[in-house]
Amino acid sequence: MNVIEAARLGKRYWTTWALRDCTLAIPAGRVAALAGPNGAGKTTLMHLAVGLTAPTEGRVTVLGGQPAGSPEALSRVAFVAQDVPLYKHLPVQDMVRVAGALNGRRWDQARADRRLAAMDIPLRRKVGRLSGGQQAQVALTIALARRPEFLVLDEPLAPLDPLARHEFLASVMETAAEDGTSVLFSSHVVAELERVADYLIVLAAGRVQVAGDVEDLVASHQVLTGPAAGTGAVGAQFDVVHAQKGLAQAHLLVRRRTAAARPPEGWQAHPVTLEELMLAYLREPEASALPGPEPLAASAATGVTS
Amino acid sequence: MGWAVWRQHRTALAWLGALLLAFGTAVLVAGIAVRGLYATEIRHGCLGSSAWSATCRPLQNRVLFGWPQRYMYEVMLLVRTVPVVIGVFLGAPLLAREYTAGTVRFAWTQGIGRTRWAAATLGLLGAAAAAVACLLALLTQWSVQPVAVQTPRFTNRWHPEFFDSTALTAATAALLAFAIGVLAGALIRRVVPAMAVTAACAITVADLTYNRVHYWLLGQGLRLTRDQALGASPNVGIPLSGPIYIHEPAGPSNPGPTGAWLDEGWYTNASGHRLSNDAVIKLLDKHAGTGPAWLSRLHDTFWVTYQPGGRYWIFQVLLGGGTVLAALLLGAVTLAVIRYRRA
Repeated sequence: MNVIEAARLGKRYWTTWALRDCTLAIPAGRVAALAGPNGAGKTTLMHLAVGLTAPTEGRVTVLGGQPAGSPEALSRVAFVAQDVPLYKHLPVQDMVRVAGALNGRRWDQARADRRLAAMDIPLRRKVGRLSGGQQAQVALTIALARRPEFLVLDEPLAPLDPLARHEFLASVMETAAEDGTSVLFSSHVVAELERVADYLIVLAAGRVQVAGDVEDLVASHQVLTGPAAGTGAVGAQFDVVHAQKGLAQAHLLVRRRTAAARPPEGWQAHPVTLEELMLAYLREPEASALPGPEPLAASAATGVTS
Repeated sequence: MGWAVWRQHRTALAWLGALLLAFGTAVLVAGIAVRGLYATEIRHGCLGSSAWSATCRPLQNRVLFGWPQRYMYEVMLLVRTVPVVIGVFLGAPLLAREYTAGTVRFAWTQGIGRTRWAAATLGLLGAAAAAVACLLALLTQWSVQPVAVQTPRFTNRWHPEFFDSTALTAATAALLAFAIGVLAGALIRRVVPAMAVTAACAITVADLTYNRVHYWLLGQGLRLTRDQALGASPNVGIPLSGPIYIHEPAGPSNPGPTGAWLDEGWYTNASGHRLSNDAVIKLLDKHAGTGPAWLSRLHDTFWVTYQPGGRYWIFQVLLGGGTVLAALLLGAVTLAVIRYRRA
């Protein structure tokens, strides 16, 4: 099952495309990171996936074919929006109970109570008076008490200090591990993605540039160092994503065409970090690393021709 | 869901309760005082136009020309502003605040779904608004009733002050103003501009209902009667430009079917032709004081169209029902806006 399947998905605000031609399938059971610079369309993609926004073109489904925003999808997908919007004038305990009233049978009040107690969050304090980290934890608590199958978090770490980030990510990882919840979270901070994500999507300028398993991506990419004059020889077995050439030496971030690809004579291969990989792609908007057959198969399965 | 709506809008509902309490207490106190004076009048047998005795005159003057009369007109005006207040302070901020605070992104992604969330919120708060307006209208009508019955020509139940502010019509007016406010908030998405637009729209609607819709509605399906005695009335003989709109109930100085609402009147001459207003004015000027009587001696006839008294509740239901329909229509538009516009 895929938690998100998007086929030629696009969203235009007036004359500007926030997201365009986005074809994507995120498999279930992953902690997927949605990365990209500000304005790349991360929030738009998430809003489309949770049904807050309707697409201008294409379609998006969640949890194996449920239309985004349908009653079925809403009851199984939990979303924490950017800047954690909550009713700030309500005390924490009332905020949580209001959320419970908006969620019906799946709601797990005991779980919410346990989490709030474990986090030492003062229940009678108004949400607006809590620290940024505590507000984020309240929002996460509400999302988790819905016992979602798919948890979508939009820039959850942005307002948090390093310690709060650590705690927040630990909570998310714990849930993903315990309940088997699939997670999609967006961030423009690369370092924290690397720690927790096992699936990566890079959006740039409204298009999907990279999508795939982190392990596969890291394994299929390398940095090759060799003579600046001999870069032509690399192209036979590798796709060059980004080239950095000096007078004598060149550093190429490349993608292997086949697992058997070996660097040519005179070239040295180094493993690549996720951060290097992402930065290389972001510097070369024309380059892309997409798992070809999967999204196409997904769109065929949902009846959309591409 | 009911608890959630209550908890979330407790402050707004508390303000509504405070309005009810303050206004209600003032009206209750005034009503008790007015009813005290009324009781004194009854005790001295001073009701009815024939009772202008030396004992009665000061008592009646106190009610008809003293503070109770002023109170009646002012409180009737005030009770008509209640729906506007509800629309501006309860309706307009409802969705506008969710948009500005970004909490729509919370509310609309919960399991209940945005349509059910909106329907429950709007339904429950709309009902609260209607209930408050209904209670205030009931109290107000109770408090002014002793004054009103003594000046039936100007303060009859058919008059817009009363007709548009009964428990039924006040409640529906509040519902409509609330719906206007909610829609303005959904479209404008900012609290203060939405409140301003709501105020303008709700006042316009109240004004149109009072000055236009009311008379238009009561002008539907009129009956026609010929009334010699009515023609002799010194009051309806005063011609205006155009047709003579009477817009008064039948009563001591407006003879007609009991309890009826008189709409329009005109004179015809012996051959059945309608007299122009100029002709009537000339006749009246020529025979000052005896004009109408003179008209009837010449077999001129006064015709009047009227609404029978028995139709009062039909028209109450028509006005109230029409207002509810308008409110539901705006509510449906609001739900469509919530459903189809991006967050």
